[in-house]
Amino acid sequence: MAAELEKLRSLPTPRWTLIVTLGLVALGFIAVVVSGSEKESTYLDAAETMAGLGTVIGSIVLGVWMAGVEYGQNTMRRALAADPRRERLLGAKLALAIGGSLALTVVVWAAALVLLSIAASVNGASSPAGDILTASLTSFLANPIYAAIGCAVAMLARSMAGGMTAMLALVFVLDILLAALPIGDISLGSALGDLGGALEGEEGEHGVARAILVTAVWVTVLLTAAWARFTRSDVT
Amino acid sequence: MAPAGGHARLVPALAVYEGLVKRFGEVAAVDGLSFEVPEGAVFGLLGPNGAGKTTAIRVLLGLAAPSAGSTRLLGARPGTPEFTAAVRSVGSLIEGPALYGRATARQNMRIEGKALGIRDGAAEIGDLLALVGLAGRADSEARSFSLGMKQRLGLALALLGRPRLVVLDEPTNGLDPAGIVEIRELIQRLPERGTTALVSSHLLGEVQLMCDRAAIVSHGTMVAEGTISDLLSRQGGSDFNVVLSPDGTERARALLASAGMIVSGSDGVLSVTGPGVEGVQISRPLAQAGIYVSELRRVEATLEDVFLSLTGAESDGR
Repeated sequence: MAAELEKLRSLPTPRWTLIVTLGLVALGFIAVVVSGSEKESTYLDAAETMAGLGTVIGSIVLGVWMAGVEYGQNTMRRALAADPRRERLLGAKLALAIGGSLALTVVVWAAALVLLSIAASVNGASSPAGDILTASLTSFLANPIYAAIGCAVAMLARSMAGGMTAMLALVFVLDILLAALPIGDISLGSALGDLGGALEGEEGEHGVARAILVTAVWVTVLLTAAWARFTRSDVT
Repeated sequence: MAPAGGHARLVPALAVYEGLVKRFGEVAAVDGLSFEVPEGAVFGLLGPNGAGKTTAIRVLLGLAAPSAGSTRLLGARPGTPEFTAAVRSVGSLIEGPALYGRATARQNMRIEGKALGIRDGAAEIGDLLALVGLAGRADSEARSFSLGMKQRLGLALALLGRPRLVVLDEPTNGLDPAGIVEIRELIQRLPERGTTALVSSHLLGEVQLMCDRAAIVSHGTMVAEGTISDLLSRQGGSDFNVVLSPDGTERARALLASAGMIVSGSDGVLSVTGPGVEGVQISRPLAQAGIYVSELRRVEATLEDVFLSLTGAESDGR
């Protein structure tokens, strides 16, 4: 775990992920200030777009990076030659992917809350703080799951670029196709949306129990496959 | 420095191969490899590219599973609880240095130190970077390094934590001649630091200079193992270069051949070999026949000669 933390500290990708995601929020702030809108929904929409979508992508990047960096830099053999306990390494990477995603989500939503409240105040709109706080709950639930799945997908792909491509395709293409299948909505995005909605006090489309089941199946299948591939195959 | 020759059995073996077989599909990259690396040695694993050296090392470190046979590292078999402790007492440099390119040399060392459970390694990191000649570039990103500098950093990483055994796969790759000498001397001094070295190389001359024992591997199979002097003595007779007057060349050839020696060459330069041949056995009959030798030089056998004679193959490791 200490070595993985040191990588998070020393290597630039996590830092740049945070900077870029905060930059999106800053852009949203500038846009709404310039718009001069007095509608409270403008500020909530900006928060959901910039902080919500930004932290989803940031969490995916962090999750894929945690595992993919070893394949991208060809350092997996070095990591395992220092400590051969593969389950432990995978566990540390998953824990830090989830922890890093939560930290990113906290910082970026906090920035969004502060900046967009200021923007609303500048434009004479009522404070969006309560709505922004409620809207952030979905991110706190969904982002760590995206990060964990990203880590698993990179382990399966054994590649940084391959993991990133597969994860973006999974979230933004495959998930949408799955939602359209006539067998019922088994997409991860819909399930997380339903769970987030339940946290925010909204009634979900498919029910919380089904959403929990669908999410659990996605997470279990991908993590189990990653664990099996990583622990049972040779490291090149 | 080394527990040479017959003493090898008296010291513990830090790495043991017991009939190791590693197949990739139908191809056996390693086929029945057995040898031991005694503590205190600089042990060469010698063979051409594709001989199975790196595969054998990867199995030893638990990075790949054997198809048959087994290995022991510091007495521990892969998959056992003791193996983790064993691996953490072993430094390695496999298939070139594995570095985080966007991290500095010092950060790379710090990451490795944390992985090895070293709490405060700042002083050791500084010492090792100085040892491999990278003190002045400690805070430069590894991606900016030349291949030779990366190799030096890889060596420093392998030596972090004062390992009992260090496994170095082609450690002089990418180094310039001066760098090769430096690294060779560094490796030769490792036993003084309490570190045994297993050095894999296709550079036969390097192994001869660097190691005190070696195993020669060809097509995944071990063809010879022993101290360097043992291996060299397997080459049999000595070779001599003889320089004499061009006029006497043919007479000298006939004379030496009639004495049972194998003679080649022409125009005043002959190469003479044969079992147990000594210089005097060449110079005396020639002098008695009135053929005077202007130069008589023994050509020492090399590991390359041994390798070629044992495998009958062309070496790429000149």
